[in-house]
Parts: sequence; structure tokens; C-alpha cells
Amino acid sequence: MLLKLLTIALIASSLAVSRNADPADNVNSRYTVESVELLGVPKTKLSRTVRERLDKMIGTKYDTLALTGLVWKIREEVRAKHINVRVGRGLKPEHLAVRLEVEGKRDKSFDVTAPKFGYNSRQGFSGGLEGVINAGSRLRIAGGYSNDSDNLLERYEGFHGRTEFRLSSTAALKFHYASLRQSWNPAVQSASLYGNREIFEPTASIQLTRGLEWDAGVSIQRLDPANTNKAARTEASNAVVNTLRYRRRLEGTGTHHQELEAGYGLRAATQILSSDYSYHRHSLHGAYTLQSGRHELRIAALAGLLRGNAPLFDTFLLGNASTLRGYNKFDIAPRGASRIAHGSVDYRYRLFQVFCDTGALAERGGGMTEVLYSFGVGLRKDNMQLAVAFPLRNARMDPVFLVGVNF
Amino acid sequence: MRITAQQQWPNRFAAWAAVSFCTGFALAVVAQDLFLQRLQDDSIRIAAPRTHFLAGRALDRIRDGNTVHFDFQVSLASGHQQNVVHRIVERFSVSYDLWEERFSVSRLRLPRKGVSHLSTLEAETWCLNNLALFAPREVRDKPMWVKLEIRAEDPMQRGPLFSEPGVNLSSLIELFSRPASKNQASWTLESGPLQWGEIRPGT
Repeated sequence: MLLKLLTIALIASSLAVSRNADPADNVNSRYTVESVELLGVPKTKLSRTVRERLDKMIGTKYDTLALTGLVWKIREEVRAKHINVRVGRGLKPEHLAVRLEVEGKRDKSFDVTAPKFGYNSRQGFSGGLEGVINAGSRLRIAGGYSNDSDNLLERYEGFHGRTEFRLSSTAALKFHYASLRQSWNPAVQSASLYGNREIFEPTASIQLTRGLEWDAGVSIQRLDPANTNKAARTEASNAVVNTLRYRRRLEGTGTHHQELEAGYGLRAATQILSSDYSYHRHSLHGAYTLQSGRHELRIAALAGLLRGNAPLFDTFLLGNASTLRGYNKFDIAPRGASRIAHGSVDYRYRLFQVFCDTGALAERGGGMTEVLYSFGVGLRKDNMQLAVAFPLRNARMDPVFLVGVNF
Repeated sequence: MRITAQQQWPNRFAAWAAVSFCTGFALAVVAQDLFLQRLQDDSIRIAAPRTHFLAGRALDRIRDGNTVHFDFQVSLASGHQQNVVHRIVERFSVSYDLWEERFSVSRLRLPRKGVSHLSTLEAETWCLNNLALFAPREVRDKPMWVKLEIRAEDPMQRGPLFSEPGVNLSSLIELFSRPASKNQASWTLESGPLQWGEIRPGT
């Protein structure tokens, strides 16, 4: 009899159990999602579908079911141990700010990446390896080795380390250290060549508004004289650094996307900071990307101004893997320049890409160079590219081959 | 100096006795936290004023905008403690209004039932008030034991499974047949042995 009663009670209850989750289960489902932030893993590690789904949440009602499904998808893709979903009040009334904190990799909290690897037929190989440790969702430590002939006038090689500690979803403390050894192209004729360079850069990063980030700190650099210049002494280049970065992705209808990037950087070295160099370096860049299905158009511009006596690493240059592709930087301004203006247009269809660059420099102590042009064609898939670029000068075409990752 | 097994034995016995006493004492204290009330329709209402399941990590998750499910099992044993004659299992979802700073609770049964604008204490009480335990007439002349088990959803286990329809009572019973995981907050409260007449009548 008792068993019968128990069975009846169980059956009656089982019939009465309904769906287990419903968006309406969460009282916040009447509010609108204002922002979605992913912490602990770069958004680029996610598949395009997941990135799009994350972006599409903005402006819609808070849907716990959709979010739970997406969180599990992200967890699978980045192999995370756990993802904390933290939702708070947004800046606007009745809006919510969603924060997804990826906690620890399931099988590895250590990752090795190649931030840059490439070959330029005029300037040789550049590359590096970096190991990244994610200690929880707040602390990130990275260290690695790089050997780069593309970025600056000199080829530099050495070790670097950086740490980032997130104080909150909008604030972080960063520290960068590097010990680099320089080698110089014979074309660079300057009395201020340095051999070893040591960099200490503590900065604070604050997200001012959605998409707008401000980094502020100091850059302390010690420059040992090059072997060729034995009479020189160790110099310091200490500067206050400020960077404003803006990035906004605008979702369109269907497969249309637009992305806007802009940045302003200021380095002000002064003798107040015991610097042997005194200068102000302003740089401004912007880029607009329009993506429609398999077509992608990117227009980018860069401008810069340098006043005072700056070390060579802070001078401007054109003719590398990202500016005036096809030129050799040593043919344009071998000692760097104090003013720069550059623009580029890239068009991609599936893997195929064509690009056109134009730019001009004002050498230190000299006038503006003529406006130079280059164009190129190639293949590109995500961050990997294979291209051949042609400088358009004096009716000659000396192609340069560019191959690389993030190059 | 070597200590023989015989020499160790009294110490071990004392240690086990102390542990047993402390455990028994703790259980006795916990047992007092479950209060029963007999209603006019002969159902039993449960109250646990000193047990706060909206606390700790589960509460943090709720305040972070998540929906957290709490599973409840109330069992009634008659004659002896293992003879369970009636059992109810229920799942409640709790969320927190981030703008109004009040709790909302839903009972996941048909007909669905929910309430909002509650304080922490009101939300806890609402869950317990919606657990209707009936004592069959056949068991009312025997000693009874009532056991309440509460488990917060394990954040590490929750996945799409729980987002799908059809998670039924057998899943919940199976859930309670397993021990709670280390990430899962759980509470167990017991009352008994008691006679039907000893249960305080309420309104």
C-alpha cells in the first residue's frame, strides 16, 4: 500500500515537472544588453560564428538560454575550464553589461604563440615566439624571444616579458620589459647608434567608454652605445607615454560588417625624467574596414610628427611590411624621419588580395620626400599572407616578396 | 620507542568517540533547524529559519545576473527512518533583478508559478512554502521522520542538458541519489521521530 502511494506520488510529480529553463526564469530578461565583454582570452581566438553571435547580443533582450548555449560553445572552442558570467547594470537605465570571464585553460594554462613571423626579400626574416601564462582571469604573463628587422630602422633581437593584471573589467595594470641587441644596416649613418637597449614600461590601462581605451605610463629605456662608437656613453631615453585607442565593430544586416579603428600616441621625453633625449612624438592612425560577404575593403591612414632630438627607434619610417609595401625602408629614409603621412587601400575577395600604398616622409633636417606609391597582389587567410609588392618609382618595378604570419 | 598496536588502540578509540560525539552533536543541532507545521488540509509545511541557502557562491552567481537552480527533496519516513513513504522533489530557479535589487523565484512545475520583488529571506521562505508534503492517513499513527535536502546547482556541471525540455523527476531523484559534488552547496535537515499529533498546527 505504501509503495503504491509512493509510486502514485512520483508519477504525479513527474507529470507536473515542466521545462527546466526558460528565458523568463531570469527576471533580467526584460532588460537590454548594452555590452558584451570577453576576458581571459582574445576574441580573435573564437570562431567567426561565435564572435558574430556575441556581437549580435548587443541591443537585444538578455536571454539566459542563448547566453548559456554560447558560453558552452566558447568553453569548447577555447578549451576553458570554466566561464564566469557576470552581468551588471549598464550605463543606460534598464541596460545590462555582460562580462564573460574565461577561467583557466582546461588542458593548458600555458600557450605558445608566434606573434610575428615573416620574410621580406629585401630585409630578411623577422619572427618571434612567445609563451603566455593565463593565471586565472585577471593575471596574464607573457615572455618570449624576437628577432625583427621590419618594425624599426634597426634589426633587434632579444627577450621580452610582459604582465597584465586586470583590476576590474575596465582597468588593468601592465608592465613590459625587454632586453634587445641591435644590429644596423650600413645604410644607417648616424652618430647616435646604440648597441643594446633595455626597456621598462609600467602603464595603466583604462577603458573610458565602450571601445575607447587609454593607456598611460612611463617608458624607461637605457641605450648602450654601439661597438662602433666606443667613445659614447650609456644614454637614457625616458618618456611619458599616452595612447588612446578606439575600436568599434558596427554590425550591419546579413553579412555586412564595418569596423572602425583609431589611435593616438604621444611620447614625451624630457630631462625632468633624467632623459638624455628631449622630444615629443605624436602619431595618429585610423582604419576603416567594410566587409560584405566574401568582399573586404580596408582603408587606413597614418600621420606622425616628431619634435626634438629622438633616438632612432622613435623615428618614423616607411617601406616595411605594413607601410609602402614594396619599398626598402633604407632607400627612402635610412636615418628615419620626423614627419610621416601614409595611406593604404586593401581589397580582399576570399583568399585573394590587392593593395595600394602611398606615403611621404620628411627626413630629420631635410625636406619632404616625394610622394611614393606601391601596389601588390597576393593571398591572405586570416593572419597569414603571401604577397608580391611593387614600388612605383622611376618607371621601374623591383618586386618584393612578403610571406608571413601577422606580418 | 616503538608504540604497539595495543598502545595505540585506546587513543584511536578516544579519537573516534570524540568524532562520533561531535558529529552526533552537530546533527542534533542541525535537526533542530527543521520546523514542521500541520496545515488545515493535512499537508505539512516546512520551515528552516536558520538555514540560508541563498548564500555564498550561489548567491554571488545570482547577484551576477545568473539564474541559479535549487533542487529540493523532502522525504517522509514512517515506522523507521529508512522507510520512505512519500517524497517530493522540486526545482526552483532564482534570479536577481539587477536594477531593482530584488529576487525573483520560479517553481518549475506545471502550472508554473513565480514571484518577484522578494528579499533574500522572502525568496527562501517562498521556496519552502511551495513544498507541499502530504502524510498519508496510514502513517499518522506511527513515528515519522522528515528530511529536507537542498542542493544548489553545480555551476561546473550545468550545460545545455539543463536548457532542454524534458528534464524530469527521475533526473532529479537520480541527482539526489548521488552525493553532492565538491562545487555544490548542499544542506540536509532532519526532524524526527515525531508523532502526527506532535506537529504544531498552523494556519
